[in-house]
Amino acid sequence: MSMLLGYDILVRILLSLGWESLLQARRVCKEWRAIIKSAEFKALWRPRSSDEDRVLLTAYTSHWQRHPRPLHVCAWSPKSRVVSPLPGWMKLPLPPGSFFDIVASSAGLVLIRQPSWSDRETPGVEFTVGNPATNEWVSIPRLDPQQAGRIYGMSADPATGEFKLLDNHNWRVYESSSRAWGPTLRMPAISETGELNDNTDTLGCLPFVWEHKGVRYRACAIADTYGKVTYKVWVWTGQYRDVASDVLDLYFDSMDGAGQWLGIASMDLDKTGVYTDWSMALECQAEGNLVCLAGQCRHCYDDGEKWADEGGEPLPPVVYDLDRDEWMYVRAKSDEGVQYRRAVVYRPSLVKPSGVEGAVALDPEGGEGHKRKREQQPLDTVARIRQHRMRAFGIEAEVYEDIFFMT
Amino acid sequence: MVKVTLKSAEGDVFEVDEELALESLMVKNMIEDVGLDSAISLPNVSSTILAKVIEYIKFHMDAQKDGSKKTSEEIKAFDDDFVNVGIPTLFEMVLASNYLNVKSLLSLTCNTVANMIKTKPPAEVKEMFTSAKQAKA
Repeated sequence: MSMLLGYDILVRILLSLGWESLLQARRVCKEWRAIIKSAEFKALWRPRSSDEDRVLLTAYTSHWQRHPRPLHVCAWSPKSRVVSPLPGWMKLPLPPGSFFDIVASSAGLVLIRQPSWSDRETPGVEFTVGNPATNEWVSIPRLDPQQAGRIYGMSADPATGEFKLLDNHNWRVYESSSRAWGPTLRMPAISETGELNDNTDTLGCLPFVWEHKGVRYRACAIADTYGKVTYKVWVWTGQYRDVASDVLDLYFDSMDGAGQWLGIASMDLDKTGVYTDWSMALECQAEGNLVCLAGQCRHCYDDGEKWADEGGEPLPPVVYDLDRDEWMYVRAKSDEGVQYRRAVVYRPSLVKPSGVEGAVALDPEGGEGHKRKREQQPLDTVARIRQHRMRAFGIEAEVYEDIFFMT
Repeated sequence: MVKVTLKSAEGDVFEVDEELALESLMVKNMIEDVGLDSAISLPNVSSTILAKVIEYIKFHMDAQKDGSKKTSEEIKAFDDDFVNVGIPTLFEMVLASNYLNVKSLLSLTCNTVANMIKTKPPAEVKEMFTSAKQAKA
């Protein structure tokens, strides 16, 4: 079909399309699909504008007397500033209603964490990395032995799909190039002056380093000795090693030569209407002009004996727009019975996560292209078994959890 | 005013102002190479399409002139109407504007095709291209 307009003009037209249109265009014919999937095309294509960026939120039950559980994933758009269901083209490998949350995102890939609440013998979490837009997923080998993690980091290379994961609770890093978990140094916190230090007991937050319009930024939450939490964004004033084709180091500053981190924006955490204690865990992540900070009070309901991450009182996610110098809170309406805890900035891309062999499509609704790889099966098998059991017992999800796993 | 003679694929001759002809970077290069004496032959462009391209350039040149009373709405209305043609004609205009190197017309026609891809389901897009191919054959 390219004969009609010529290859160059066809590519020009396809490059002008936005994300959702490209997904449609991939289905027109094999030739178009091949063009869109090619590395050259991926390198040239850019998202239309920043309004395609979304913040993916995991909604939790707001029954804090019980154990907070993820309910579903939804999207918040900085343009409309409303929370809406995920757009239809965004696929997740787990059926709605199963317990999972999206804990990190980078270059269009997301990190899904599925706590093993349903498996008493082997407590811990399962990780899946994938591209929700192209529906390509890869299971991450389980980290064993494993404590319940809380803070995760992820950094992906948009050119190759190689990625690094960081489990900040177990001090382990996973590298897709070696497909193995390895030890890492204890993560540093950031002090008021922007210096790295290891002295903050009350706040867990990984500094996140990223690039936007050729400038390198870092964001983090910092706590003072009185427990006041401040969100902060810095810009690097000096030179840095060119890592454009490399996976950005998430937490260690790979800066060369003279320069310093200059604070450019900050805001104190608004605790209005939130029960907070002195100890908090916050996640920080950014993509383009958007920075997202979300977290929870660490010790509220977390006694370390329960399966996987029980979490605590959620703190409302806050989004900072670099271009407009504006801080925005994302709060659920109080009567909705949900709270948002996990929040990541997500920008759709065509990147295929490293480790996916051939085309893999996981479609929870069972549509076309219903292919599953063996290694991905446990993910939704667990959820399905759980649903079957629930149906057999004829009880509500939450009651079921309490009866069978929380006794 | 200096005139330039353009010759379409069918051999029809179009006499246009030099200023207008220079809007096509391809024609501009030709004039620089061979001069204005002989007709510039455009074997890839049919008479109907060449007439359309000339109409487009003429309208936009007039609209840009000082004292032009054309509003941006009127210009947009002209553009919308201009590309409101059958798929085979639209594709021919894409190819002609690419060949003649008329940047504004190329982006207008490409955007029109892109909008069609955006708004139609994949099966209809395929149908659109297939029918254009048959029309050409």
